[in-house]
Amino acid sequence: MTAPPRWAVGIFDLKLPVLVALVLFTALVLLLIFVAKRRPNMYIRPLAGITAIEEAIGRATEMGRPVLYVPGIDDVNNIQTIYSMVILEHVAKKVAQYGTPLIVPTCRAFVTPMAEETVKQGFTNAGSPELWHDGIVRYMSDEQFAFTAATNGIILRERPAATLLMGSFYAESLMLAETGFMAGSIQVAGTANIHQLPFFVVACDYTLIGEEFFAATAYLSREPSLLGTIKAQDGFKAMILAFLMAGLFVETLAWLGVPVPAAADGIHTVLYDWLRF
Amino acid sequence: MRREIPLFLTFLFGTFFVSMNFLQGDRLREATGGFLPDQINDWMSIIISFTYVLGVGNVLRIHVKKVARRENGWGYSAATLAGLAAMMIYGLILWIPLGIAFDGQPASVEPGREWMTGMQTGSVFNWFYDAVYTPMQSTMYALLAFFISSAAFRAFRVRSFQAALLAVTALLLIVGGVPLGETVWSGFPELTSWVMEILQTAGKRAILIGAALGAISTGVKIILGVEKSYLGGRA
Repeated sequence: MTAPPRWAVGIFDLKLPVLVALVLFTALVLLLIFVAKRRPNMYIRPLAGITAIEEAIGRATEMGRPVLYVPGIDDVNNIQTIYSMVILEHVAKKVAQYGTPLIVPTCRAFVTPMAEETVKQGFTNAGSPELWHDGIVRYMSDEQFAFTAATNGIILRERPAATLLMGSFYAESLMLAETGFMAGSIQVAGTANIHQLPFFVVACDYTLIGEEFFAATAYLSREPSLLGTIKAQDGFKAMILAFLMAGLFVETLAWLGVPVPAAADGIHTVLYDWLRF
Repeated sequence: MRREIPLFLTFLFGTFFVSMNFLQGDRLREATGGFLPDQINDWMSIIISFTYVLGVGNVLRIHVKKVARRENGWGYSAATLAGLAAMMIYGLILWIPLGIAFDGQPASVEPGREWMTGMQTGSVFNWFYDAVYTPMQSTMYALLAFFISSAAFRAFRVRSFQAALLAVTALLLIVGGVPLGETVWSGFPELTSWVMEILQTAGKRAILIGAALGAISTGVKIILGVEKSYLGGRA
């Protein structure tokens, strides 16, 4: 028997807990998508931030002022930017139905054509492709603060009635949100960058926090397959919570000096060693 | 086929990069003399550089039209176009002889390198960046302090139980973070650390777990083609 080639030895780094969790989660997602397709009226708890997106667009329509949509400042290799495009398509569709002006400033050259196509598609889906014009998607700069200054300028000059900040934001989050507040916009923000969440919570009317941001299209489209993924997330979170609670319980017993049954302690040790990746 | 090919490519590259997480990149690189993810990242850099042409096209389309029609705020558009033109001219076309470099430092001129490219230290391009753009960037960043103050002022108005909790916690952290706090009560720094390390971290991690699951589930949806609306057409 010949030995395996040298390069094949030790190239795997299975990170078993991550791999198992990923496979389990993917399986759960697929299973619940299947279930959701059979039961399309699946209940998911209402999110005020999502409803607020439509309210904000309605308000802008009534006031005859534009809707400003900022898709974050990261490139398309960030999942938040991709997802922001998905939300943008829904926003563009809604805006086109009402005939409200839309402005989309972008911070990355790569995001610009993507945003243009997304808005065009949203308008087409609403049956109004003729609403598209060059001034909707505006490439500002790849530089963070040059982009911020330019976007703040738009907010102060064009005074949008609704500002939607959806995507990956950094230090500019509060600058944009505060300027929007000063301009009197109703503001809905969504990001998974947890360090920017406090700024958005303080300065915006509604904030989609972390996972809520990634759930937006499921709520907006009510597509069964997307609703299934929300359920899968909830299910997996419940599993994580159960593990955490079990660990907390056994750890607390040990700390209190209460004798822990060998089996429970054994499971705890195994889980602790295994999950400590 | 307009949607199937992009979906297939998304699946292919998505699964490829996920599987790369479970391989030892360094060993693969050493064994095969190259590493496909590195090459794919190089391809991506090349594609990104092409998109700058589209970006510049977008800037020109919008601002030239605005200046030509003398629309509201056309002066800003003219300044944008002038800035764009100046940086492009000095970065790409107008190279400066090394002898008259802007920093005034005598430079040793190697044969064949008598002209300074746009990106070299002391070039006009770099001077614009260092002396014009960088201070403006710092000014913008400095404004953050004022934005934080105005946002904090609104956030700390005690209108509800939650707002009161927030205000009290913030006050504790502010007092505990300065020497005066420790002078008043020696336990303040410890209390501050406890709030930051236990209460804050617990809340932050809960959000982080949810956000990570959301990101993974979005990745799975995109790789498996469940979420297709980013490609255009109905979701």
